[in-house]
Amino acid sequence: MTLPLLFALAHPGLMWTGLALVSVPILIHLFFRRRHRVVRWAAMEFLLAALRKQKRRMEVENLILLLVRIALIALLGLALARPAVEASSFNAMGVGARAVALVIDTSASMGALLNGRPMLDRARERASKTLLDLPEESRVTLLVSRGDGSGAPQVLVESATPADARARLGGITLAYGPNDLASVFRLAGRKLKTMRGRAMVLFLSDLQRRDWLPGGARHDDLHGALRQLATDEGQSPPVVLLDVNGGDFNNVVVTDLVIDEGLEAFAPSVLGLSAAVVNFGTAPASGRIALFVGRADGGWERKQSVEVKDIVPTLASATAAEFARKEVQFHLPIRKEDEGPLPIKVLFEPDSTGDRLESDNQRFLAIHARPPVRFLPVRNYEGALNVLRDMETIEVIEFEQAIYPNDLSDEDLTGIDVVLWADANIHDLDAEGATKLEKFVRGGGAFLAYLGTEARPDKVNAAFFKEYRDGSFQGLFPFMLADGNNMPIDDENPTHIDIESARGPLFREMAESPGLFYSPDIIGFRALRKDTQDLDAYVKARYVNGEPAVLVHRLGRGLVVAVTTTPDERAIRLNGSILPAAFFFNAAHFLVEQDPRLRNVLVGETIVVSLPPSAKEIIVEQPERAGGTIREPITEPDAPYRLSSTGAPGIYRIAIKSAAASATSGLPSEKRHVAAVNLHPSESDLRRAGASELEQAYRAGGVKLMFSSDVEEALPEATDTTGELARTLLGIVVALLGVELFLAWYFGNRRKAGSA
Amino acid sequence: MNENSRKYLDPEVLNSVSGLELKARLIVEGFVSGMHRSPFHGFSVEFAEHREYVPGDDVRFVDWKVFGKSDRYYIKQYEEETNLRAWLMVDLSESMEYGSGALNKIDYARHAAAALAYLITQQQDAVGLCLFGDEVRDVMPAASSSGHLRVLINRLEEIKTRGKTNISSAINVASEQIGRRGVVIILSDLLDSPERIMDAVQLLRHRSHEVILFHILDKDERTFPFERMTRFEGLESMPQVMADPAALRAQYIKELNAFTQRLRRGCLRNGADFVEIDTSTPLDVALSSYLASRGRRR
Repeated sequence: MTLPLLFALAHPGLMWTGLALVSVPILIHLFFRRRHRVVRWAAMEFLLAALRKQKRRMEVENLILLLVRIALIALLGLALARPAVEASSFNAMGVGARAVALVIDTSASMGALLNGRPMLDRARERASKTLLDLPEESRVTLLVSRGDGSGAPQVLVESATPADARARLGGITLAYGPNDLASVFRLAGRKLKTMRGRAMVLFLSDLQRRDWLPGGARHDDLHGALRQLATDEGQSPPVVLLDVNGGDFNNVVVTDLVIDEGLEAFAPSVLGLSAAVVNFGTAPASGRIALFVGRADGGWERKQSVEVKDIVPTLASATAAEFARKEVQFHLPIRKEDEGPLPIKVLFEPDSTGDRLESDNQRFLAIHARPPVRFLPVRNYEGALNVLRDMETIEVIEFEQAIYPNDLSDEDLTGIDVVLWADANIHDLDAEGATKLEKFVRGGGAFLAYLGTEARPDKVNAAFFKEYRDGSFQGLFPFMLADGNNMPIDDENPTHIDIESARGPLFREMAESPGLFYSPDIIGFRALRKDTQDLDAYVKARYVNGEPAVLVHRLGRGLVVAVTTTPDERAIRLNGSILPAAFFFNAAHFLVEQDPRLRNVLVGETIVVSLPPSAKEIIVEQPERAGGTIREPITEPDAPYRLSSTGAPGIYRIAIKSAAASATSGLPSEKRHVAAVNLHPSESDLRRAGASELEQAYRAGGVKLMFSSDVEEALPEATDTTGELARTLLGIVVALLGVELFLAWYFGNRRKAGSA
Repeated sequence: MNENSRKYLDPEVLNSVSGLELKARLIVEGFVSGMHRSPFHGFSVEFAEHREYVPGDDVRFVDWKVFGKSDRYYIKQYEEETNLRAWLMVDLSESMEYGSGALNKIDYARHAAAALAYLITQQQDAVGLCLFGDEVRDVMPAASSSGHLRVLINRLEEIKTRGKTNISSAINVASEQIGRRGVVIILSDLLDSPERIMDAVQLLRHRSHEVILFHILDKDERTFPFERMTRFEGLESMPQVMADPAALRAQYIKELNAFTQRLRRGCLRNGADFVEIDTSTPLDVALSSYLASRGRRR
C-alpha cells in the first residue's frame, strides 16, 4: 500500500492493526471506569477535599500514562508495518539528495523468462521506477557487467542525474556471462566516495550466483567486498540486494546436462547425454525432459523427450547437494551434416506450467560435431584397411591404384587428416618425399608408418632422421632408428637388457625431448603397459620377444607414429599376422582422440594450463564475444596459466609459444586446444536454495536483502529507509516502554508513599 | 467463664446475639469480669469494706494506713452513690448508616449506648437518652429504675437513621432539657463542622456537664482501604464521586486526621473527653472511658 506522498508500508495490515490497538489503552481506561464498584459513603467531606486537592495531579499523571501507552502501541504497529519514506517524499520534504550506485545484473541467468518476461526487463523496470522517484538533485552511477563475458563491472553512466541514468537503462543488454560481483561492489564503493548525498548501493539481480553461498569459488571475495563496503570508514552505505525473480522457489530445474563422451562428437555417431532435474519447489512435480537441437535458422528442433514423474520436492533452505535428482539419458544421433557447433538444449516441461521460471528449466550445450578423420593409405595394406573401413569415425580415402609417399602431391594431401604408410618400404620414401610429409605433419596432419620387415632401421633413418644438432633436428623423427641406438639382444635371456650400457647418446636426448612419447594404448600389449611409463620401459618393449615398438612423436601441430620392428628374423614372423591390423585400429583411435583434443570447460570456469619450462608466450583464441585473440607473455613459467575470462560459450584455443622453439628453429609452437562449450549447470549461478543462508549471512553486516515479487511493493523498500525507520521506531517503542514502566512505578510509588 | 463473658465485647460476636438488653448485660458483665473483680461500686463515697489489692486497681484507693500496719495492700471500697445523672446522646443521622464490618456505626452506637445505660443503671445512677439528627428526635428523661432501662433499651432498638447531622443544634435543644449537671455522652460520627461541635461542647461544659465525645467511625472511614475505581455515593444528600481510591488515600487520611485533630484539640481546650473508636473496637472501650470520666468526678 502506498499512502499519498509520505509513507509506504510493507505490511499495511499491521499498521491498521497497530492503530486499532491504540484504542486498547483507552478502552481499558473506559472499561475500568465502567467496571467500578459503588460505595455509599458517609465521610464525603474528606473525600471531596482530597479529591479537590489531588484531582489535577492525578489527571495529569493519568493523561501522561495514557499518552505514553497510546504512543507505544501506535509506534509498535507502525514499526511492524515497516514503513518506508518514498523518495518522492524526500523531495516533498526537502530531504537531501542521495548517491546511488545502481548495479544491474546482466549475467546470463537474467535472460530467464518469468511469465514471459526476461528478468532483465523486470530489473530495468524496477530501476526505472527507483530512479524516477529519486530526488532530482540525487546522483546515480549505473553499473553493469561487461559484455565480453569477463564479468568485470562496467560503468555505464557516472554521477548522472536520475533522468540521465534512466535514459541509459534501455541500452542494457545481457552479458552472457557471470558477474564478478566482488569487483562490482568494490567499484560501487569507490564511485560512491566521489558522489555527494546519502549513499546507497542497489543491486538488482536474480541473485542466482554460486558465489553468494559458502563453497562458491569467489564466495570469500564477495563477502569481503560487501563487508568492506558496509564498514568502510566514513561511508557505510546500505547495500540493498533486490531479488527480481519474484522469490519463486517453486520450480523444477534442469541442473545437469552432461555429454558422456566429451563435447566433441564425430559424425556419424550416437551421442550419449545425461540430464538431471531437481525439484526446488514444495510439491512433487511431474513432466517431461525434452531434448532440442539447434537449427541453422536459429530455431530449435525437438528430438526426444522423457517422462519424469513425482520428482521429490525439497525445502528451499536445503543446500543443492541435498536435493533429490531425477536423471534421464538421451541418445542423440549425430549426422555428417551436423558438422560444426551444434547447440543442444534440454528443457523441463512441467505438467502444470503455472508461472514457473522457464529459463531455470533448460540447459544449453554446444557440441562440436566434426567430420570423420580422413585416412589416406599409401601402399595399400588390405588387412589394416579392412579394419579401418569398419570404423565409423574414419573415412578411408582410397585411390584406384596404389600410391607411394614419394608420389604424394600437396593437392593429394589437402583435406587429409592421416597419411597411412602401411608396410613401408624405405625405397618408397626419398628425401623429397620425407620433406613433403614433414610439412604435412607440422601443419597438423598425422603420419602413421608401419615399418615392415623390409624397412630396416638403418635404411629408414636416412629418410626419417636427417640431422640432430644443438638440441634441434630436421626430419620426421628426432633420432635415428639405427643399430647404434638399438640394443644388443641376449638370445639366452631376451628379457634381460642392460639399458645403461646399451643405450646410445641419442636416447638421453629422447628422454629430455618433450615432444616424444610412447603410447601403450596403440599396441595394447597388456604385459607391457605397466612398464611403459618411461623411456627405459619403451626400450625394453621394443625388443622383447621381437614385438614391435611404437614411437609417437609430436611434431609441430601434428603427429608421427611409427611402428618399428626388430632387425632380426623374429620380426618377420609378424608378417601376415593380425598384429598390423590391431595396430592400425588402435592407432586410428588414438589419432582421432588426440587431435584436436577438446576439453569440457564450464562457462565462467577457469581453464588451467600447465606450462612447459620453456613457455614464453601464451596465445588464446577466444570466441569473438569473449574478446577475440589475446597474447600474453609468460612471466611465471613455473605456475600454471589460468584463463578465467571464459564468460562466453565457444571454443578457446590456447597456444603456448616456447622460447626454445621460436628462438632456435622458428618452428611453430605447440598448441593445446581447449574448448569452453557453454554452461555446466552444477556450477552455474542458479543455486538459489541458499537464499535464506544468504540473508542470514548478511543480516549482521549492514546489507539488506530483499525478496519481492512485486515491483510496486518493493520500490519503497528499495528506495529507502524501511529497515532504518522500523528499527528507529522499535527503538522508540522500547524507550517508551521504559518510560511507561518508570512512570507507572514512580506514580504508583508516590501514591503508596503518600498512603504510608 | 471470664473469657466467655468477655467475648461479647467483640462486635463480631455480639452481632450474633439477639436482644439489645441481653447484649447490654453481656457487654457489661464481660467488661466487669475483665476488671478482675474490681467493682464498679468502688467509686462510691460511703466506705464499705477493704479488699486485697489486685493488679489493675487504681492505686489512689490503696489504704496506706493498713499497709503501714500489715505490710499488705488493701483497697478501700465504698458504698455506691446514686446522685449521678448521665445523658446518652445518640446521633441518628444518615451517615451513621455506613458500616463495613459486623456492625455499622449506628449499631455500634446503639450497643454502646445500651451497655452504658445498663452499666449506669447498675451503679444506681440515672440515665437519660437523647436521639438527634439534624434536630432532636426524642428525649427520655434520666431515671435509674430497671423499668426505665428496659424502655430506654427498647427505644434504642427501634431507632432508625435519617437526615443530616446537626450536633450543635441538637445539643442546644437538649441542654434545655438536661437539668442539673451530669455526664453527657455523645455517640456520633461527628460529621459536622468542628467549630459548631465545639460550640455545643462548650455550652455543655458551661453548664457544668462532664462531656464524653465518642467519635465513632467505621474502620474503612479511618483507613480508606479501597483499591479499584469506585463510585462513592454520599450519604446525607452529599454528591456522588467517581474516584480512584488508591490515588486519594493519602490525602483523604490527611484530611481525616486534620479533622480529628481539631476535634481533639477543641475537646482538650474545653475539658471534654474525646474518644476515637471504630466499629471494630471492643465495646468495653466505651465503658472504661465512661468509668474513667466518672472517676474523675470524685
